[in-house]
Amino acid sequence: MNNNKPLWQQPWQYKESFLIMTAILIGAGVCDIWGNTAVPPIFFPYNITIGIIALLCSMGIVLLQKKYAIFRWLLSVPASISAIAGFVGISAIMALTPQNPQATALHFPYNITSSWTYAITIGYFLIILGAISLKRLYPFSARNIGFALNHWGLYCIIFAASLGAGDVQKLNMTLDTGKTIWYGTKNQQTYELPFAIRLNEFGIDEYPAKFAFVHTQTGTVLSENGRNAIFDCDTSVIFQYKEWQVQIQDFLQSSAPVNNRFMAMHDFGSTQSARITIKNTLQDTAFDAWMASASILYPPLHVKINDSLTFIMMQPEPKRFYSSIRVYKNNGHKYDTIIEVNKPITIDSWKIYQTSYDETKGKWSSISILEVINDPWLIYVFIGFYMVIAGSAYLIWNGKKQSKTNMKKNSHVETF
Amino acid sequence: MWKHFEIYALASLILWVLSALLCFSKNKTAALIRDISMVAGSLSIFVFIAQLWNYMERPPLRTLGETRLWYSAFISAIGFIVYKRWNYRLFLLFSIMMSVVFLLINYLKPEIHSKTLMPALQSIWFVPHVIVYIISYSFLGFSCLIGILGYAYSKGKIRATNIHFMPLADNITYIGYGFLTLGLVFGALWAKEAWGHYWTWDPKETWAFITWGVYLAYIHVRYHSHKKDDFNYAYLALAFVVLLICWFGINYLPAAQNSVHVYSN
Repeated sequence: MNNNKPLWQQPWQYKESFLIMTAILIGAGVCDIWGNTAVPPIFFPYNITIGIIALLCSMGIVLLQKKYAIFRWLLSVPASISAIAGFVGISAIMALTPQNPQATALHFPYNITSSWTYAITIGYFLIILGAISLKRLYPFSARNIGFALNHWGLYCIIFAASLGAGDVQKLNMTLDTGKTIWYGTKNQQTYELPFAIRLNEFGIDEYPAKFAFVHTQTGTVLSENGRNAIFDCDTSVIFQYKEWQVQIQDFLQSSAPVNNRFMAMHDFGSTQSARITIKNTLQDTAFDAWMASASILYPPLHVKINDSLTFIMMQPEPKRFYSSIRVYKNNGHKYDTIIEVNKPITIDSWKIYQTSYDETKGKWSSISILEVINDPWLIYVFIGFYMVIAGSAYLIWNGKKQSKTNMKKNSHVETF
Repeated sequence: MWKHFEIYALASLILWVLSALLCFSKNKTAALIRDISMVAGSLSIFVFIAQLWNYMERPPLRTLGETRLWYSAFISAIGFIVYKRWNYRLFLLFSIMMSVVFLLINYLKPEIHSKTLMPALQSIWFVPHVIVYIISYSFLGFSCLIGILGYAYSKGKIRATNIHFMPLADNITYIGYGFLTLGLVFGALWAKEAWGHYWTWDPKETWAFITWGVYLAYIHVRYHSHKKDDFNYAYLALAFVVLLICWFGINYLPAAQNSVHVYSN
């Protein structure tokens, strides 16, 4: 590399590349802070138009590279690195400042993704990426497959994710048990959907509660030999803490208190309960007791052993949140299904997720909150993802391509 | 079913320790036994997973103990493949070590087999996401070490006879970066299924992207080998600091406290 050439004389290298990138960032940043207007949401057909223009810019750079030194520079490694650095830089600002999408104060830096600096940085990055990806397409060679997968894959992802963001529809559906809803809401506005949903039932399946020995006064979990005295529900195991042994005789997943004990019951407010035997191995005494975890109707029932030791039943952890629903489609077709966390359902191009519920009522919530998302550009982002996965496998397998001279020099390269 | 785990774990442990010891031998027979031992050890865990899956009639992906089985199985398997491809016995040793650690945790703490995963973590992408990040971080950590040693070597502070730092640094970084990219993408695929969107610029995601970008820049710096070796070594050593911020640092950054990734105790 020629390090002695005067600045701004072509061919531009690292200094010029980074100066230009810094100028872009500072310039755009100042405009953002001064003007403080957000980038308007760009939806169809404006986003695809901008995308095509960006692609045409990339094509122009490649086709005219022989004629203009500045285009040769844009296709160079220093320019690419400065564009990467710009993208990383704006991300760093996002990482170091608290981001608040509801910010009415400065968009830059408190809501970077809606700022012009962000849009310009990504646009610049995308144009360079597109150009260099196009350049290596021709002449086509098998050696370039890895390069193409990685670069075009990334291009698809950034192109579709950035430009498609404006077309993403993200709405909430708040369903009451037994009611049918055909619209979603966002910011108090309602939007009609091409389907309707009736909530048959919302439920939470719970894991059996865990049990623990705690200090009576402070409630902190005790430990012995460095291990916390917390136990999984298992009727075959004896829980031991110092001279105390506890064994579960009966466990009821769903029950309610009746007189001095608990009976299986599945109605509103039911709770998990257990009948236990507590034995003192030193004094060889034992007693039985019922205990229960809290529910919305009943407080928890613990067993106080003495002033410093209490045996408790912890709050059960959720295993599964689900909404049992009936879907009505515009064409009259209807069917029943279940939505769970991590198991969204798809209706046409909409994906429906289980998001929330009435937390004050827990598993007896009569409300289920779903999120419905329509992302028409998603398929292109996913194509990009899979291209990049293939490109990464290529990188892992091939490492860095050695030039012929290096190959000779390093023919006995590390067998580590 | 978990009662049988001890047998399979013991078998894998013995086979892997044998393989690890044979890493130090250059003998051809030793190499063959080393390879067979490694694969057999890995197979043992895969067989146990298959039996557990069959017994429980669901994929064993619901508890921390179950996920650790997959870590042991896949880190050893992928470690073996990468080692065969690149002949990096040190990485084989490292994979064995990591796989044994996960086995030992399960072996020594049987009472937490049923420690349950939150519903959002019960996804087919969770385990691959964690595995490739573990492998990636180990490679990039090693590249940091090479960076430090290489820098000292390029400044004449240490002597090295059989080691060519630069090609080794490049290779290790490329492999680590490949896995890093997989981690990022698998995380996005998981996020789409669990949270509804593949990227939300959550602080952890943002730092993961920054880490990815920093190593991406390194790859481009190395494309024409424009910069001198000492620059490259220093870059690799410092890049790892960014990775550490992504890995641990976000738990302490004030801007990141609302992240879903901040591991709460």
